[in-house]
Amino acid sequence: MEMLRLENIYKQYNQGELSVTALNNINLTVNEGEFVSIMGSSGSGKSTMMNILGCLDSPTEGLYLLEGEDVSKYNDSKLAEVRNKKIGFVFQSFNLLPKMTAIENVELPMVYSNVPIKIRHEKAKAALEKVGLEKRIHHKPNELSGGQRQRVAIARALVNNPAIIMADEPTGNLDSKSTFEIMEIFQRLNDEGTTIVMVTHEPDVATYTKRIVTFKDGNIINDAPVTERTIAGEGVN
Amino acid sequence: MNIFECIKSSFRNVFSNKMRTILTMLGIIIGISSVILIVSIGNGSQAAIEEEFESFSAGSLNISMSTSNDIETRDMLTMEDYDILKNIEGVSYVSPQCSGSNTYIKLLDPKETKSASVSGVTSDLQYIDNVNLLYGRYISNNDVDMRTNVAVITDTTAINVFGKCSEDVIGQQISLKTWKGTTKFYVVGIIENTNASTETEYSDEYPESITIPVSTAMRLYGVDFVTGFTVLTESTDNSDFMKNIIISVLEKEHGNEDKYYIQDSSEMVESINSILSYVTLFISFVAGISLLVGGIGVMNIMMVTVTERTREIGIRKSIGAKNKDIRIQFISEAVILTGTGGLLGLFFGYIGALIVGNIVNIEPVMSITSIIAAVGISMAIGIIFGVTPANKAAKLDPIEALRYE
Repeated sequence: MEMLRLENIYKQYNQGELSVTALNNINLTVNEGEFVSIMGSSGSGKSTMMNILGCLDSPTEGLYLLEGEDVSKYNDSKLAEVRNKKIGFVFQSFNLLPKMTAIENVELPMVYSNVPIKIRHEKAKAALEKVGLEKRIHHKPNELSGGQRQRVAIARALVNNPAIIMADEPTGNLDSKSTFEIMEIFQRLNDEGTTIVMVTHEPDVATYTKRIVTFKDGNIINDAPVTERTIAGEGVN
Repeated sequence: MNIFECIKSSFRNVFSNKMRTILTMLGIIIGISSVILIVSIGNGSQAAIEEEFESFSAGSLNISMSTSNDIETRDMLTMEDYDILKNIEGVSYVSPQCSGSNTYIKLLDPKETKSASVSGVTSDLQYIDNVNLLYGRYISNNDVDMRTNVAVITDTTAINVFGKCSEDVIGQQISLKTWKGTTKFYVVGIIENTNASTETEYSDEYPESITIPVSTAMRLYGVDFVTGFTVLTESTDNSDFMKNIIISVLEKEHGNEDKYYIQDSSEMVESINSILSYVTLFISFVAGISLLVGGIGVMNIMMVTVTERTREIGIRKSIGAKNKDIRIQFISEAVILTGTGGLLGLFFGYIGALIVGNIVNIEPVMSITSIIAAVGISMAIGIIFGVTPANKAAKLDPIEALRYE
């Protein structure tokens, strides 16, 4: 089943009189259950791509269908709703709220979708269990290691059952052991059916995924399945 | 995001930085507490003044000699004027006032005396002054005609002279000492002292008030004129008209000009109250400026907060907060900040009013209206000065905000 489709997407930024084309006629389809890496050097347009896929930004031109819904012309408020219900973000710098505990951070997306407090609590707990942090639910981010923080962020991304998880350099701030842990979680979630799109500039991290899309100067220059996939955990095929 | 959730998280954010919060609130606290202090002391003194004047019934007019002009014998008010005033249309009751100086009353301890304020009156005064008769009777017309040595005293005088205020006091004698000697009076009635509360406070400064028949008073002081008249008109609407009539009648009778003066009790209360309310208004205005400054302080801190929390705003937006959610969050933080400041101001203002009231002997009056207004105004300040920072927060671009370090 088709999860998202981009048709003739253009993104232009106006800087004074200068107009910069960040994305130039992008066509891309991601199906349910895929695990896609977006690669490219800085300035290649991969961050812009991520912002548009994550509904943080709208394309200048073109069609973006997310679960069959055209979100390319949505206003701020509707985009916020889409981000809340259909997208789960995982960022390089974790982006947890420092004054809140792990479970409060995970509950936050449900606060904005008006989930009753009891259900919210249960769901957040379940999501933290899924990433192996059931013993750390009342810790604040500064009491957790980098890998643990990123796992809280993954739990937060998962908690509203999004259509897709957008990970922006999720291992960029992590050591190799934590990277391994995070990729193991991603692979496990993917095996359970979660669609994941991950931006990275590290080729070895990309090999954990199933498909690599490479950007250069706002164009897709390569789109190929991963042939020699790295498997992080046991029982993963 | 529901409103309860929003308030809960706002409280947490506001009080996570206690020092800053308290300093920011200070302007509001000072503003609100000074308004509360001033208004409750103002209301308290207004109530005290009104109580003071309660003994004059509304619309009663006090006629007296002007003090500024030379007074000749023919200008003096006499009992003939009393008969004339009684017959003016629109006048319901008239009582002459005849009081003398240097009069003393013997107290319970036979060696002690205290100054007494003796008023010679007619029976009409009980209707003009709304006298509350506790025991016995008031001065009667017969007393005036017969120049009897009877007196009506107040409950406080009864206690000072007889050590009790009861039926037994009726029929007993009091001794009044003037320059002519000592005269004994039978007590025929005891009335309530309407100024009891203030008089007990300054019991040494207030003389005992004794009411006797006007004719007796004139004999006691050896005079054939009266000090003035108290008049109650049928209607209070045309008191200016009545004043003119009374003055012109008296001037015609005595063949003079500008010798008499009429004081209107309700007018006096009004003029004192209006001075008081101007003072209250002025000080409230100054306090209002402090609230304005406090509000600007809140806005300033909210602006700083929004900048500091740019990344948080970005995070909240990325996980689905709408612009509206962010706006409401920051406005509610500002309202909580100023509202709490308002409540604290209310508390400190009331404490201050109690302290100041204790010093100047006025019981502060805090009305529900002023409580609601204080809290309402402080919350309104939160909204007014919170909107701009909240809009700034709401309009942040999520991508930019997430990148903010």
